[in-house]
Amino acid sequence: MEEATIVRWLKSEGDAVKKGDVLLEIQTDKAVLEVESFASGTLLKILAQPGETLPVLQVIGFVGKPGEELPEVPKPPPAERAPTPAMEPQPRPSAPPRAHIERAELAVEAPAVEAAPPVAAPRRFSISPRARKLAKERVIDPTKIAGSGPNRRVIERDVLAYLERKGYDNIRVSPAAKRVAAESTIDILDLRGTGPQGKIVKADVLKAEAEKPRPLSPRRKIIASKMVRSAREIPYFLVTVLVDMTELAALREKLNEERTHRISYNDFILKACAFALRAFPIVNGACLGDTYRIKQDINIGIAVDLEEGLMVPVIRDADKKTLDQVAEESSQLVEKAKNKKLLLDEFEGATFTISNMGMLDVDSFTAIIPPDQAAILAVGSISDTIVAYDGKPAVRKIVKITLSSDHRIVDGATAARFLNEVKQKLEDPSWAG
Amino acid sequence: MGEKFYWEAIRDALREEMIRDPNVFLMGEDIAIYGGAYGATRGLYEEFGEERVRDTAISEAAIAGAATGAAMLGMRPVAEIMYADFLTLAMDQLVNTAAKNRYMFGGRTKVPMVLRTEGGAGRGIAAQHSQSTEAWFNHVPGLYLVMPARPYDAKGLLKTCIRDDNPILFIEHKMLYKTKGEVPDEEYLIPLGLADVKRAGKDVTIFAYSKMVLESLTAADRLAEEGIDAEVIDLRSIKPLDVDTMVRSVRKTGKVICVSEGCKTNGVASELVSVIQEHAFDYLDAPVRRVCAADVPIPMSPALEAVTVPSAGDIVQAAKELLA
Repeated sequence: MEEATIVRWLKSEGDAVKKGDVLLEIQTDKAVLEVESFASGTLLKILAQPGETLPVLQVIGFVGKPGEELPEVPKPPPAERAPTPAMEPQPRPSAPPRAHIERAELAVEAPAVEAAPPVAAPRRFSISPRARKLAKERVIDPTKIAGSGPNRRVIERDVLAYLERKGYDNIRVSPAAKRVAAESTIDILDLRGTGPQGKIVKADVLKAEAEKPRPLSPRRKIIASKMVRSAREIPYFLVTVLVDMTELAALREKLNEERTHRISYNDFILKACAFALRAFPIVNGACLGDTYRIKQDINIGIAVDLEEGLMVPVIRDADKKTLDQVAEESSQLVEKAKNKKLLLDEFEGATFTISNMGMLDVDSFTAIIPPDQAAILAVGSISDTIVAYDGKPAVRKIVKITLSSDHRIVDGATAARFLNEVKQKLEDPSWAG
Repeated sequence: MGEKFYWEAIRDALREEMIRDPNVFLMGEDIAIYGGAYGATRGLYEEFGEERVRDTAISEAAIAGAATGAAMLGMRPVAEIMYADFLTLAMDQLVNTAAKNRYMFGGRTKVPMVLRTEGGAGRGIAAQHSQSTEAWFNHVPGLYLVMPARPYDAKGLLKTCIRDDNPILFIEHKMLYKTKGEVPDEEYLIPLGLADVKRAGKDVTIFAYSKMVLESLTAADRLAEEGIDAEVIDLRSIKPLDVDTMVRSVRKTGKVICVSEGCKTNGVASELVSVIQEHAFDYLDAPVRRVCAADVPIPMSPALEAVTVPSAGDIVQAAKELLA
């Protein structure tokens, strides 16, 4: 909890209060809470008015002895967004929970609010040529050394003192190791030697070189930023169902005998999802913070695993296409993705995404919701499983499918019903026959 | 080996070269009968006569011009300009004729002359008689520049200069004439372009020439008392400059002071700093310091004169700041 809004004061300035009396009601992001007094005395001053949203730890009043001098209270830093308007006390089915807000609890929960100390301008690293040369010869990183020269310049004696402090002369390095380290940007002092008596050998340097941080490729950076955004903004929850694919497997085999363009399991799943999305439009939506959208077209993205990273080509209007059309298009798109021939509008504009790891022998998994969607379906492997079928044990082809949904606009029941619709369409594929 | 005065060492060099080579002759103001303003030609008129030791008119242009002409015709003149301050009057002959003729005549002539002069402060004889003007001549291609600090260096270098086929400016120091030092009896020569490590050290390098070498050595003694081991290098030859010795020293100590009695701006010390950072940048642990005369005319008042030009105290101060 980072902030709360004052709803109303139950005591006025000048009232006598006892420890434990409810002083005011506040609204947090979860519920309306009552705030009890920590002390007995008189409510001397009220500093926060109903409707004000303030950060945790902000002083909102004083309880004490009449006539006591009250300290100055610094104003809270300006809120980053407009404070939520105080809600009318809502009719409650039962008494609201009492917030036994201990001071310590608040302090632990809330981030520090006082102004950050002025950050010293980052030191501009300077080093004399002689000192730099020495550091280079010793194959160490001079930026780790504190400088004693003018403007904190690192000079020769600083390097020498640093080497001595680090016991550099006791470090044994093979000539080959030193040469390789010098050519890269390895600091010998970072290495642990695995040679005889702890000698640093070439292999140690090569290992350090391989472990050096390397920059993310542009593709990976994009993926990473999307994942971070999703993790940061979308509160997700998971629902899993088991789907009996036995009938569908048989149908698929039969259909594929008569076709050159083979239909995959994923094509069936995609069509099943398209039906379900029509039935549960909110799952085809997206939450944008305070607002949300329901998208009118059903464009389903198929996650494709490529060496350089994930790509998600999109089947547009999946609900309006036949299974055959979906099958043909999806295999074309995946081919294009693999050959890096996807056009921009072929991987933009998904309203829902399916990630299928069935070919990788996984039981189930959680997919991350793309930032501008409401849900994503993760499909595991179909495997022969012993289940109860018609009251008797049988071996059926079972797959686990898991839906991750944005809890801001999709509630548990909706997700469950959506999944059940998908399950139903897959377990009874007569629509495809 | 014996102890000689600086002026004696110079006089002996001249004498020996005049004996050795009949083309060597001397000319200048008051060098013959008077024996030289500072005694550097004492006794030579009596020994060699008025043809070879010639008193001239008070005309620096004539002195320099006549020497240039004589040199081009096969003689080896050693001409004297009484005060380095007066070189300005000889400038055109020196800079535009003596320095350039060998080149402009396509090598079909040469100008084997030595122009002796003396400069420097310390006698309280004011702005027009106390300057160190060597920086002006270091800038002239075709002229060479030698400035000895000790009797030993003066003799060996002067002989080399007289035997050299180029026009060389040999600048002595008025306060050094009466200093004494060991000089071998047997003949010796000191080559041009060879500096001399007057005091080996490891903490800081001091490059100096002429009288500033003595100030630097005094400074080094004082620094030693405070645990600072200074290396003092007498450049001796300003052009050609001994860059190898300079680099070797910078490599050893990493900290450098360049001392010159000339004014700071565009002085010889500035050239030394440039050379050092070009050839020995990676060995530097701190910026190179210059210790030079203030950019003012040399005062007549002895008290002011003393603080205008560098002294041992200034060099000590610079060294301590470098090593702080």
